Amino acid sequence: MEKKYAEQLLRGSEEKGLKDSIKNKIEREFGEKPKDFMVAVVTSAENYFPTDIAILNYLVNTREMKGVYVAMNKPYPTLVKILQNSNIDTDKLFFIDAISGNLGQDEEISNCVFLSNPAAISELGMTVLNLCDEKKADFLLLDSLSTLVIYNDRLDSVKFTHYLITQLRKYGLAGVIMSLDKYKDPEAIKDISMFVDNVIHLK
Amino acid sequence: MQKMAKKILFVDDEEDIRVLVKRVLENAGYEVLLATNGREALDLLKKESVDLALLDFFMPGMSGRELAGSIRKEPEIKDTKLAFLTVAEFGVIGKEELKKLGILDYIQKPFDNENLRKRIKKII
Repeated sequence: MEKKYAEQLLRGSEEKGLKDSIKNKIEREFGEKPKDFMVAVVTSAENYFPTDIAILNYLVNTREMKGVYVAMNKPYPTLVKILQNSNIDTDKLFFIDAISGNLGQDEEISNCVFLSNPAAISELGMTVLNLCDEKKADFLLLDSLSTLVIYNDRLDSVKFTHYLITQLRKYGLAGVIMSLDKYKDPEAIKDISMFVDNVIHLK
Repeated sequence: MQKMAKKILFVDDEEDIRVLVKRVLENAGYEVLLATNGREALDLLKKESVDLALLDFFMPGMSGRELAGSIRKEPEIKDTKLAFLTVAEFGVIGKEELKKLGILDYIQKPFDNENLRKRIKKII
C-alpha cells in the first residue's frame, strides 16, 4: 500500500518529466556544498514529496551522511515504509516523530523518538540538542516549516527554527528546512531565509 | 548654545529590553523614543523625524525584516537610518538582504553597553 503510494507520487512527477529535473537540481545544488551547509528548500505541494525523497537519496545514499528527520507530516511507520520503498537507507536516519503523539509511544523503536504533539517545540528543541550532543548525525531535515506554522504561531515557529539553525551550526551539522511555497503564513519562510546560506526554489 | 540631542527610535516587544536600552542610550546623551511593534514604529516614524531606528528582528505581527521593508517603501520615511539589535544570527542570504534593506549595522544581543554606544555613535 505504502509502496504504491510512494510509487504513485514519484510516477506522478515522472510523467511530467519532473522527477529527473528535481533529482538533477538537488544534486547540482547540494553537490557543491560543504558538509555543514544550511539551506531552505521551498517547493509546490505537487513537488514536495519527490523533492524530500531526492534530498534524502542524495544525502544518505550518495554522500553517505547520517541524518535526523523531523517528521511533522507523516507518522514514523508510514514514512519509513515510503523511504525504504524509495531505496533510502533508513538505518542511517534517526526520526523525531512529532505527529503520532502518544499512539507512537507504545512501541519501542531504536531509531525514533515520539513527541507529544507538533506544538511541543521546547520538547523538540531538547530532543534535537540531545541528538547533536550525542553526535548521531551529520544533517537534520525539518519536514516542515509550513507544518510547524500550522501548529504554532509565526513568531514561535521562526524563533524555534532560528534556534535549530544556530544549534546545528554550533555542532557543525548541515540543515535542510523544507517548506511549501503556499501555506498559512508565507512570511515565515522569508524570515527563515535570513538565517540560511541558500534558498532552493523548486516550483 | 546647547546642541540638540540626536533622536533614536528603539523597537522591541520586550519591555525589559526597551527599558534597558533606553537607559543606556539616554546616558550616552541620546533622546530615545520607544515602540513595542512594527505598526507602532511606522506610525511614530511618520510623526517624528529620527536620526536612527534601531529594530529587534523577532517581533509578533511584523518581523524586523518586514518592518525595515515597510519603512523603505514609505516615501516620507524611506531614508531613515536603520540598524538591528537582535539575537538573530544571519546567514549568507540574510547578510545580502540586510545590505539590500540598507541596514547599517546589526548588533548582537546580549550586548555590552559600551559596545552598543560605540556602534550607535559610528552610525550617527
